[in-house]
Amino acid sequence: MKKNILIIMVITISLLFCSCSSTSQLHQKLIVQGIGIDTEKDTVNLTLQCLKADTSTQDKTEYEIIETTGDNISDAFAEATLKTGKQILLGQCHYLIFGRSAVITGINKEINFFVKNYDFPSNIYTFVSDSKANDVITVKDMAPSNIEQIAMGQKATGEICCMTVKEIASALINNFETPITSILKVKEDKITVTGNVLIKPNSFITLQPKQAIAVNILNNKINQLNSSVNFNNELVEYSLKSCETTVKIEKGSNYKLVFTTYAMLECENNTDNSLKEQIAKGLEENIKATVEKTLNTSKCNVFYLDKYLRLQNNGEYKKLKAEQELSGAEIEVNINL
Amino acid sequence: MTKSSSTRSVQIISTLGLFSMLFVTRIVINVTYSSDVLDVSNTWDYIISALLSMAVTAVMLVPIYFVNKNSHSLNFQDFVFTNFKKTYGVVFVVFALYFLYVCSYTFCLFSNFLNDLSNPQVNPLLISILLVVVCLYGATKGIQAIVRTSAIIFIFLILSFIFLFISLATQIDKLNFKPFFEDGFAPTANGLLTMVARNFALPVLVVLLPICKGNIKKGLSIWTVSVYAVIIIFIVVLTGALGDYIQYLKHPVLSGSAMGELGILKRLDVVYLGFWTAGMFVKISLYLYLFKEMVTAVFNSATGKTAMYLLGLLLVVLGVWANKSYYVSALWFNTFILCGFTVFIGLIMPLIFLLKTKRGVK
Repeated sequence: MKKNILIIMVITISLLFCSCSSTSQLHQKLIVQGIGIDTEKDTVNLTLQCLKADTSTQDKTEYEIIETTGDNISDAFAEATLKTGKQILLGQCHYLIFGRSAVITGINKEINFFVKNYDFPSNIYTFVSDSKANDVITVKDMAPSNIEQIAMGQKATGEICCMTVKEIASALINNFETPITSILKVKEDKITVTGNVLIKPNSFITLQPKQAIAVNILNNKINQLNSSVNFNNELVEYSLKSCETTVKIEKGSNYKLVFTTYAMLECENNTDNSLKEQIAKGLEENIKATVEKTLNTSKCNVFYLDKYLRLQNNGEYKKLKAEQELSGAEIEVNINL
Repeated sequence: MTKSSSTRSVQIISTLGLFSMLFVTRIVINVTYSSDVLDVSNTWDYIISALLSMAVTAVMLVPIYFVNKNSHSLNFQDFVFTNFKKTYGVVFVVFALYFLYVCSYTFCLFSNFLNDLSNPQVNPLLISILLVVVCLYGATKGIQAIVRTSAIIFIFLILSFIFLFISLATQIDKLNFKPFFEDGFAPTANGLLTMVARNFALPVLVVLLPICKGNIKKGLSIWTVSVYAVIIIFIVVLTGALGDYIQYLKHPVLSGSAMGELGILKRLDVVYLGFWTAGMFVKISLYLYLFKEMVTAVFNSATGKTAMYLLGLLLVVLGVWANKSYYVSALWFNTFILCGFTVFIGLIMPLIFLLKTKRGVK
């Protein structure tokens, strides 16, 4: 009797937990590798780059593009299921691209949809298209790895600011922070990065690659920076290693932000103090101008200043919560090479 | 009506076995931690709650320890028969009701957890039924079998936590930590209340310490410190790695585990979920077993077993009901009721036992 019960249990468990009873093969799933979101008035247009599981081989991966429309993002995904007759699998998604119009309208609802979806990987990078997200995804020979390589540029050159879905979601829920990410443009069937954009509703504020370097240095996102400077009519290449920035927020009649960056300078002629001073001055001016532009002009906090304030002066942070204002701050930048 | 001590088979368990089992049962409940039970936006303050709860637990352990010391090697049932000659039934019924409550609370939490996260193709009800069947089977095998199983699960659980902590540690950002009591003392108080309420192991100790062989004082100390140390590490790692993102998550521990990466190893949440479900098995089996023992003490072995099977059925019904009805869920997850019940069974009852022994603390 016990043996029979055990056998019945084993069969039941294997049928239920191995999904043998309701199994679906790979070709029955819509394996989404990349998502593009464009918005038009009250509609959301989705462009899904999906893996062709039935024709892809080990040597060659094939993709198909699925385009759908809905009143909101859930409807658009539902339409993709109806259109293809396949079950959507978001767990293999590698990137997320928002169209220019989506950024201007606001991406909160879409981000909320993805972060609430347990299967969706929140550590993938998000980008913004200079025009439509569809233009980037439908480019010839577009593969998820191309997009992922762009994100790697953040650490390599510092000229790109890339945020993951998790980072963007955290900034959006926080209310004081503004997410920033790279702008992609299609030029002669190639995807290029033209700059960076501050994700703020009803605007499309861009930052140049040089300003992205300042943002990355202040946010401790780059460890090493390779650049060059014109010194005594000669182009001198240098690299800044072990970059680390500390932020101090002082409150007088107004906020005063003190950014202090420490880095090790490596160049052919690093004993020359005037070269060191020139590099430090250039960096200082760049950082100052970037903070002025983002914080004081555009009223965008991309430097996690609220978090520094929370740790350094919690009383002022609570006031900030009520006032929701950190702009108009006095800026001091110290570069120690 | 009741079994005498001479005919009741007494199963002896080791201190190491007992405390590793209680570690599993205490920690596994934390992985089901959800925004339904406790606010997730102030997790950082729960470090203070954990430290305070550790102190409260230590205080609550004192009478339990002395009751065991003064029990003259009698097991729990015989101790109650000896000291509560006319009202022993009340004591057993109160304990049985507590074990029933804990069992259903744990099961409802787990069922809720499954409902939110499981693959829609797998029916959570079927998983719940199977879990109850397996737990009932485990409970019929006795305490020694549960302890032995938990020893294996304990090792896997520890390994899963170590791996999880390491994989999330690289994502910790010190800016995500905030000063304590930023939003006042209410979050800390709520955290403390929940943690004290979840001290389900204390009544278990009252029942099982008399059949435990080994250095109990050392076991109690290591268990208390290690349980809260793991809880604190959990809070530090999750707060540091998730930051404000935690506010989006209904089940931060599982969602956090999905984000942990170590080289090519990614999305190990399914593996963790397997170990944690095994931990749930230990917990539910243990409380089903204790419920059966309490009913057996009042009636007889056959009634005890029947009551346990009925409880199994009740668990499935409650699991489904709690997920569908807001009121049932609100009542079942009410921290005040749970905390009151735990303090009564885990502190007041041992104090009454201590007074009954008429020897007091030496």
